[in-house]
Amino acid sequence: MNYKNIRIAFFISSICLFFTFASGFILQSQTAKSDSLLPKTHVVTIKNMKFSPDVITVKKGDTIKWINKDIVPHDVTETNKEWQSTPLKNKEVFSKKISSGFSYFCSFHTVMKGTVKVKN
Amino acid sequence: MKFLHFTTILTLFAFLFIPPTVHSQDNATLSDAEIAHVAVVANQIDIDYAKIAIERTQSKEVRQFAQTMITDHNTIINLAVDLVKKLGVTPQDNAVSQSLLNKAADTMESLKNAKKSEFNQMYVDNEVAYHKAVIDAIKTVLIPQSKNAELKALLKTAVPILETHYHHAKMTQSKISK
Repeated sequence: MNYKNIRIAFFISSICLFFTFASGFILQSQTAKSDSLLPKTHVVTIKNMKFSPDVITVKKGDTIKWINKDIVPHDVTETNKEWQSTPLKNKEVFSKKISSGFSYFCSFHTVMKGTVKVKN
Repeated sequence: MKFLHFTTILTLFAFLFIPPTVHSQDNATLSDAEIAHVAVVANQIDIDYAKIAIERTQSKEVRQFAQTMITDHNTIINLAVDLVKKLGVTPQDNAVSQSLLNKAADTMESLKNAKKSEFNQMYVDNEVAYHKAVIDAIKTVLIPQSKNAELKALLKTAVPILETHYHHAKMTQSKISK
């Protein structure tokens, strides 16, 4: 038996195995990194006459979905009334892609308020 | 106006807490059919107040508040009606409902006859007091006394709505007082 050849073969196998794991690890971390750059969708639930969460922090380009889980209608109105959703009945959804932060309220129930913050 | 609020609150609780030996009813506890009737009447009263407000107010805040009252209280009434139909229950008139309606008639007369300059304050002050009275009655009497789970759940669903109305009325009250 040629022990020298066995040792060389073992060494080469070890090197190959190392590079296989290393490349797998690098590929996984690259995928995770690119996933974190993709826009996300966040949910604000309207329930028991509150926006929940009432303060939400998202990235520019993310989308927020407001879902009305109350029996009465609500809407999402920008505080300076620059834009406003249509009235949302129970189970209806309003989506908005976020470009900058803002405060908002429900124009039917003006004590209901929320804030969207944008992080870099 | 404060006298009217006080009598409404007093009426709502008097029939429910007066001992049976004094009360004209055999038992101070309301049945589910009676609770359903009180719930519908209490909501309808606020709708009727709101309709007067929409007719008489010049204030955008008061009009918007009143419109919300109509929308929300109609939603609650519709759900209550759907529920009693589902349960095969006929809402039963009772002394509490009658007393609420009698007092509401007086309040509506006052609102209709109020001077233009006094109307907004009168309406909103009444809304603050009325919602507080109804919230207290639902929490301390109607919910504990209701036996049917779905009726109890509907009443519990109404509480945050009414509490928001109360706070909205308070906010409107402070705006028009300025």
